[in-house]
Amino acid sequence: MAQIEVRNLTKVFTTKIATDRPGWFGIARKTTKSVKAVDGITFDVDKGETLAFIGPNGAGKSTTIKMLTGILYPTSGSVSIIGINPWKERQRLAFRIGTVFGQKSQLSFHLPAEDSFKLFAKIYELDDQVFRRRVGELVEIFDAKDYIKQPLRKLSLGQRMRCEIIASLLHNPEIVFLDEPTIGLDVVAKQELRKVLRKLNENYNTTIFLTSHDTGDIDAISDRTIIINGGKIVFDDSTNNLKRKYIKTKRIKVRFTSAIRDIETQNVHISRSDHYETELEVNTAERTIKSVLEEIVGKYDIADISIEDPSLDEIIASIYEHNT
Amino acid sequence: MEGKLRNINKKWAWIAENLRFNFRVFTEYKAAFVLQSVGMILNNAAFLVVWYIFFHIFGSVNGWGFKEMLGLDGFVGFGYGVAFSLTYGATKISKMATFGLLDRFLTLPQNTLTMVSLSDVQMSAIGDLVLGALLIGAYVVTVGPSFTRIALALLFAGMVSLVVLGFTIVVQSIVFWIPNSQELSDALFEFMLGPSLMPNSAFTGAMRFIFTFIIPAIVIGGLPVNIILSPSIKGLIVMTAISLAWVYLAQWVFNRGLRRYESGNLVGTR
Repeated sequence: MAQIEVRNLTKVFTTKIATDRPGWFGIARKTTKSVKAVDGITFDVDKGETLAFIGPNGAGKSTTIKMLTGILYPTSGSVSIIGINPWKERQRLAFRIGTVFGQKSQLSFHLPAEDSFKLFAKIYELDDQVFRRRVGELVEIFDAKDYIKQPLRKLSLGQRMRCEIIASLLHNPEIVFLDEPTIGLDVVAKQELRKVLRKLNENYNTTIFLTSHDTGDIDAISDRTIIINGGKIVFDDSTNNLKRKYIKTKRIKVRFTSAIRDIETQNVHISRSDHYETELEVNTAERTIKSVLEEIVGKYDIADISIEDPSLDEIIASIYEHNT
Repeated sequence: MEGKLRNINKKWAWIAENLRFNFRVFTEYKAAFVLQSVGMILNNAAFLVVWYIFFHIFGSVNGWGFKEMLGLDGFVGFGYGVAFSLTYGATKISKMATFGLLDRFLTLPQNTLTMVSLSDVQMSAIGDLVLGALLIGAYVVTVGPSFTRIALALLFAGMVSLVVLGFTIVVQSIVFWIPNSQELSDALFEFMLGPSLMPNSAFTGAMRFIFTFIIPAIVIGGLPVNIILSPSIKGLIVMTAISLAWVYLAQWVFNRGLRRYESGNLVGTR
């Protein structure tokens, strides 16, 4: 049975907008406009799955995660999280899920994270012994021993985010919802955070529901990807299939032993070129990689050659464009 | 029985821990805490000096003199002090709702309004609380201490705090219906606080009704002072009923408003 069941979920926001009428009356007069932030989406998530829920700005990612955690009431549709209706039994659900909002801190800015953990333990009604054992485990996994006793205001953003995630896991939730957890982090902090989230899933079989703009998060953390655009699901499959299905071009980087004036090949796009190096984009539907390689190797003296897939960013951008 | 008690204790232990947590915030900034609290005590004491001079020159106002003002300033200061020092988060509901900052409380498994209220502290309000408690004590001593008066003073100190908190929550919750209305909420709060510091005898007729049952200015000062002076069951019932009504109204209005909450994506910290 699925842990998360979403059926025809819709959220409509009504906003006031100024009329086009010029002058002071135009400023004063407003008309209402309905915006469908989420438009009838349906999906299931099984226990232990790692799901990336991605989309461009305004696609409906955060609105969906907020409805799944009980923060927002939906306009229509149904949601069941571990058999619980989030907006009818929000507090009961909160005992069983963890949430991390990358843009909003749950911890006190003034005090060490350790003090906030103690407060959260009481809020989650944990026994002292259970809390101590759990916080010990998490601090070890997240390698946070050195800084949980320092006031939060003195920590780096990466250290703070680790503390945020520890706080959300104290009660051993069955599902963790993470909304943009790596936002604002540097490359090293992002990689470390991805590693611990993966570890969390492997060690405790915790279901991870992640929204992110960063395709690195998707690659490193999630086995499955849902892409949402304009409030509708436009892709729902494994992350591997996402790459396989949408990778229709290959990138060939060639380094020459001597300077080359112009490269001439048929049905190949030259995306970058100088005398010693060139980058070719090959549409595999039009030409095989084998024939391109044979032509280049036959015509020029090659010092080095590499073949790459386009980045996940480019793949997703093409899906967004396709569905706009 | 023991198991049940343990469960009840577990259910409420977070409130005690939250108060301890807030106290740790005070002690994290010891110098600022002491200076601001003492500053507030001196500020409030200065008003009392003004009232002392006023009553020394003009005698009494419809039976109210400096003795009654001790009690009035005591109850209002104590109620304000409790609501703004321990439950300062309630004064920020409007701001939190506007900027989508209620999310973090909505994903936690306890009463949202209580968590929001306990989420912030104001250091200077501890000064109001301390001076308020001293003035209530001084008033009881001045009018003649008895078991009934001491019990009523303690009870009313708690009730006044609940009324100030309840009124704060109601005016702050306006934001759910009128977006970005922080200034309106603040103005309405001042509309209660200002008149509450006036001698009780200044209110008569319709004004007395409005400032008792609609804007509870008299309830947080003048009414408890009068009841302690002349203790009565009727007075106790009125105070209890009004206090409970504000607690209930606050929770009801907040919950209704929360259904209209639309969240947001502002970057923020607690």
